[in-house]
Amino acid sequence: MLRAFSTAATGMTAQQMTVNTIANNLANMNTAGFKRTMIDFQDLVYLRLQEPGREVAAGIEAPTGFELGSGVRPASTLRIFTQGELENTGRDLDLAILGDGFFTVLMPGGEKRYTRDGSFRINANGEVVTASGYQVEPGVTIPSDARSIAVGADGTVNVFKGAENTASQVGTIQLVRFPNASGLSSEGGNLLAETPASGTAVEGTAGEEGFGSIQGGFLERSNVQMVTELVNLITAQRAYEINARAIRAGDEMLQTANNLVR
Amino acid sequence: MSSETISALTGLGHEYEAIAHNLANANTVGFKRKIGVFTQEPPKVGVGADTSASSTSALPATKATSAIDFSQGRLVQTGRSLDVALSGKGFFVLETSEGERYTRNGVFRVNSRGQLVDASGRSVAGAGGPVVLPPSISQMAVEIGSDGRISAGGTPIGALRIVEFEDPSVLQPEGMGAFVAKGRARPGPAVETTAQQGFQEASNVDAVRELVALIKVTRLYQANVQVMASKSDRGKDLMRVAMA
Repeated sequence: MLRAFSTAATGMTAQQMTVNTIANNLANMNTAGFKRTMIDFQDLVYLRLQEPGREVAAGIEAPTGFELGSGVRPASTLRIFTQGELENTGRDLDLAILGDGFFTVLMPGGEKRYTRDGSFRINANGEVVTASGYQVEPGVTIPSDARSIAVGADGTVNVFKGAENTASQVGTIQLVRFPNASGLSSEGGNLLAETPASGTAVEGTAGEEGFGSIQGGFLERSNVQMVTELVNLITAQRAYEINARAIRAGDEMLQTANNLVR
Repeated sequence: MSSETISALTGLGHEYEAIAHNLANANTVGFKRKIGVFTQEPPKVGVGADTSASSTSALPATKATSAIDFSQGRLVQTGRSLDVALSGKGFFVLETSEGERYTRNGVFRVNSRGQLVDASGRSVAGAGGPVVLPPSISQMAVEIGSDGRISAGGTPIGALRIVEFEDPSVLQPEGMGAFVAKGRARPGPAVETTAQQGFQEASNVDAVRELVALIKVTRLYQANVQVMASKSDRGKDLMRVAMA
């Protein structure tokens, strides 16, 4: 029976993890390009006390065995890449991806990171950078005399310089995709990194071959739905309580047995 | 100490463990609850009770079998393109090195080669071999029909293999969301099962029912301990009261 205590404890731990995940989702409700995560649970191995199909009498097999489960374990966290709502900000360098794809960001050490957060800025050298100052890859430099910037659905960056009335192209923002985007690792700061599970990045032009299109002047909001998260939070909390109740019930049973020996 | 009481106590302990396992999996996608003696129809006391042993402790908990309740779980909408819930009695098939495994957990993902896999990385069987999503299509564009057919933008990619067992009691839980078919039992193609994309099947554990069973088990356990303590005929009466 003591085994059941740890069974119920796995249930409590699982619900605790769910609450942690929900808290992180809710905390990032207003983070541009944030994708919610969920935990996928699986039942734990079963202890087989009696094999099904054992012979109970000559020629008669027991139709079912007797096996005891040992609880639950978190199988994985899963980042859900559904589209977030696009919010019109009117800023030239706020870019949202409508559909599949990531922007590539170059870290100071030279390694690449990937993000859906397209709230870009221009640094002192005129380079297009993320809100944290990391350079967007492939690099785009905006001339200092640019009046306005227009980013097309295919990622082409056009600027109107000085008194010119025609736009001139200064670069292209490319997108990357992964065979398994859920396999990317979260690095914080809205950045994701490639892993063996995600597969290698495939570069491409926005709007082509399954890549999403780029919307200038928009930001992709997080795909966290408050109502969904709150409902999940209540479910997790109740499940936590009933698992605690199971431990308490077991405790009462053992106490009764203990009182026998006096 | 009577052996019936001890066996009743052991049975109740196992019953308690089964309930704890169900409750631990109250939020596990595709989980099927273990049927406990006290969460079934109440046992008919007295019927066939021709020995004093069965009328004394009258505890079906001493019957050491366990079965799985394969009833449908609630479908919860997630909107994720690779979440598939089954409604009906069918199962998805997972290919493992130890043979086929069957699952109701349709929270699929793709691995680095674009192959459809489950949370543990086991390959999801398609109607003709593993399902591979071509890299040129977006995961969000994947469409899964009610018959398990997978397509993207009208282009067919493959189909999920969905199977049904005439008698699901041949399935044994193995953990990790999977069932294994015992003996030579093999499933047939699904006829009464439909797949629903963008949904997950919730665990079919009903917390209230399990809690009621938990209370019964606790009280019966206490009653049995008292029977043990009194070692007298009063115990018989006590158990009749408990089972009434």
